[in-house]
Parts: sequence; structure tokens; C-alpha cells
Amino acid sequence: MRGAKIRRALIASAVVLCTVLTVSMGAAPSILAQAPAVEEVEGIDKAAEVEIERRFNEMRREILDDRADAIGWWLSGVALLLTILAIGVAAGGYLGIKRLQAIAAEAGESVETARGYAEEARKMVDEMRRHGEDAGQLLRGMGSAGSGAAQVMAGEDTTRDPGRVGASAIAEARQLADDGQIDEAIERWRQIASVAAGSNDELAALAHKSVGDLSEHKSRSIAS
Amino acid sequence: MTGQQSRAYSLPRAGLQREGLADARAALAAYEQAIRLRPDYAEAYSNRGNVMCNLGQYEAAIADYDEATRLRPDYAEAYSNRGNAKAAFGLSREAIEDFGLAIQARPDYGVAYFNRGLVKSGLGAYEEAAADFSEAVRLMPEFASAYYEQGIAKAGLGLQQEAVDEFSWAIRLDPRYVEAYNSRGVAQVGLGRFEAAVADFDHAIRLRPEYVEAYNNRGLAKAKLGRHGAALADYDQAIGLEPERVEPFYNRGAAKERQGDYEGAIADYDQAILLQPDDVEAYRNRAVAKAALGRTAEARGDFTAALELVARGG
Repeated sequence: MRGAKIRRALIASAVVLCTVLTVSMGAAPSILAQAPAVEEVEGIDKAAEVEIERRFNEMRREILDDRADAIGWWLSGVALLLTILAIGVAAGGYLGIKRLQAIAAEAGESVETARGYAEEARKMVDEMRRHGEDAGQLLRGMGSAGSGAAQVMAGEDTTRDPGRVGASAIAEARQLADDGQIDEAIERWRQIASVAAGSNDELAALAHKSVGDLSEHKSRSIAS
Repeated sequence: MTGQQSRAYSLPRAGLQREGLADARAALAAYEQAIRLRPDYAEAYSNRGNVMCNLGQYEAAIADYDEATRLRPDYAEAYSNRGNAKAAFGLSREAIEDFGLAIQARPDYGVAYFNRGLVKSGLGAYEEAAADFSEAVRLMPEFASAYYEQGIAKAGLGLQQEAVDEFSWAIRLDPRYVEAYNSRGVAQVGLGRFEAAVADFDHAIRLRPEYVEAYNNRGLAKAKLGRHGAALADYDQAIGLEPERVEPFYNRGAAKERQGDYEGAIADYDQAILLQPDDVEAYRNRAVAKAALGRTAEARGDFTAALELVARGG
């Protein structure tokens, strides 16, 4: 009779303990069993106490095991999530690095190309300086290549250094004019004016003036 | 001798052909751009002025040359070009001043001497013109036009042999200088060398088959040689090429008159008077022709008209 009472009390304690533990895990129902009064288990012998203690410990171990299992599951879930996250980050990082490497390679190529252009521009500048004086002489030459009237009307061209850019184009325009290919020469000067506009107004002005001189020369050629 | 000669026209000419107009407009647009980019671009102003001259817009041209010389007070070419524009605009005295400024800016500027000589020659100041052409020849010994204009000035001074020599120099420098052949022919006529003159006119016509003045002048030289039929053929040719020219009508009328073709002569004089109503000699010759036909009243009327024209300074 007394043993049955003790068992009931133990079970009730265990249920309370389990309930408390479960609640502390946050997912248990909120139904609480009523625990019996402690006075009902007075006069328990030593062996029973040991047995009770043993069972209590056994239960506690089971509860702890359950708890450990739950924590284990949670940790596994978290680990899985972290793994997935890590894999994602790693993949993203890998792709990002690959992209950065491609951009770096592209930038390197651009730098090389730019160096090439810079070198070309430097050569053009040198050539331009060499031909700078000749550019003015060309137009004077064309004026004197026409009729007597053309000589009278020919104006003196600028002797200023026309500046940078397009030395070979100027040389080509000059050659075309010398060869009598006036339309082509005009086109070349127009290109020079277009390229120089904004960056070298002095040269652009010279180019426009050359277009004017050639067009004027052409108009007189047709008139005569 | 009518003295019709063609002169190298070094002053700006107005009236470009349609294609030339398009190019001139393109040139103006290009100069605009050049000036926009470089407002101190004296050369662009000066050359835009040249285009304006070609288009006959002399006032605008002069304004451009003004700006060019303001920007560059030593700009000899701009002064010279402004002189050309002013001469074409009828401002001969101011033009001469501009050429003087050009020479002052650049004493070895032969073109300015040449241009000043042209204007002076045009004013009949042949002595001064000859001095300028001499300087032009000295500075530009290969410039055929300077010899040619010197020849014109010498002929104007009555120095026909010197004129022939100058024209010959021009022809040596430029064997296709058609005006030089024509002008030398005229000078040869002045020296009484009609055959040599005909040879020069022949050469000019070979070089330029549509050369009206050369036909007219060859007709005159042939008439001097008594070859009236051949002379008439040349006048016909000249009239066919340019029916608006008065000289061939007048000369053909005179040739017909000498041949006794008074009716034909009167018809040509009619045309000459129609083209040039103040032509005193045409009235006088027509009066003679009419008198020869017995049309006394009409002849008297023509004489009266001739006398009135003379009285009015015609």
C-alpha cells in the first residue's frame, strides 16, 4: 500500500520534472498534474530510498539523455544550416574571386592598350612638331599654284605651331592637295578639325581655315 | 584701231558659277569655324575677305581685311587684298593707299607693287604704273603678268616697241599667255607691222578659238593689209561669238563702207548705236554712208546727233 503511494509520488515527481523540463524546452502542453502531499511518504525504509534514488537517477539520466538527444538534433540542424551557409558563401566567394580575376585581367589588357595608344600619341606629337612649320607653308604654296589672280589673292598663312595630334593626317592632307586631289584634301582637313575640336582648338582652327582655303581655291578654279 | 585688248584681270571677280558658289559658301562656313575657335586668327579673316570679294561682297570683304589688319598691323597681304577689294568697289585712290601700306609693311612685296600698278594703269597713270611694274618685275622676275602689264603701260605711253618687248618677255615665260599674243599684235599694228600682228592674232586664236578680241583685232590688221573680205569674215566670227560687243559691228560697218556696201554699213552702224547710243563715230560714219546713198536729211540728222554728243562730252 505504502509502496504504491511512493510509486505514485515518484511518478508524479517525475512527471512534474519532465513537464518542467519540457516546458523549459518550450514545446510541451501546459497541463500540470497535481503532486500528492509529502506527508504521505513518511516512514520509508532505507532500501526503498535507495531504490527510489536509483530510479530517480535512472529517470534523470533518461531525461538528460533525451535532452542531450534534443540538443544533438538542434546542433545537427544548426550544423547543417551552417554547412549549407558555408558552402554557399564559399561558392559565392569562389565565383566572386573568379570575376575579380577576370576584371583584373581585362583591366591589365586595357592598361596595355592604353600604353600602346600613349606611345602612338607620343610618336604623333613628335611627328607633328616636325611638320608644324610645314603646315603653314602648304597653304601659301597652294595660293601660288593658281593663276596670277590667285597669287594676288593668296593670304599668308599662320606660321604658329599647330600643336599636337594628327601630324600624319596633316602630312596626308598636304600631299593630297599637292597632288591636286582637293576634295580628298578637304575631307582630311575636316577630319583633323573634328579630331582636334575641344582638345586643340588652335589646330582645329588651322584645319577649318585650310578647308576654307581649299574650298576658296576650288571655287575660283571652277569660275575660271 | 579700236584698241580692244584683253588684260590679265588680277582684281577679284564677282559672279562665280553655281559650283563655284557652293564651294565659296563652304569656304565661308569653314572660315567662320576657324574664327569662332580663334577670334584672333587674322589670316582667316583675310582669306574670308577673299571669298567675299569673289562673291562681289566688297564691303563685307573690306570689313574682314580691316579686322585682319587690326589684329596684325604688319599684315601686308591683308592690306594688299583690301586694296584689291577697294579697287573693285571703285575706290581706286584708297586702294592705292592700301597697296602703299602693304609695301610699307613688306618692302619686298612684289604683288603689292603689281596691284598698285594695275590700279594706276586703270586710271591712265601709265608713268607711275610703269614704275610699279618695274619694281614688280625686279622682285618677281618669273612673274609673266608683271611683264605683260608693263607692256600695257608702255603701250599706254605710246612706247609701242618697248611694249612689244615686254609682251615678248611675258610670252617667253608663259608660251600659252594668250592675252600677251593679242596685245603684242595690237602693238605691232601700232608699229605698222601688220603681218606680224596677224601672226600674233592667229596664235592667240589658236590658243583660244573663242577669243572675240583677237578676231576683231585680226580683222582690223587684215583690213590694213587691204584684205577686206578676210577682215569681214573675222568680224562675222567675232559678232557670232559675242553679239553684244559694239566694236565688231562698228568695224564691219567701216569695212563694208570701204567696199561700197553702204546699206550693209548702215545696218551695222545701227546695231553699234543700238548697243552704244553715245557712239559718236558710229553716228558720224552712218551719216557719211547715208549721204553716199543720197539720204541727205537722215545724214544731217546723224551729223547733228554726233555733234550734240560731242558737245555733251560724248
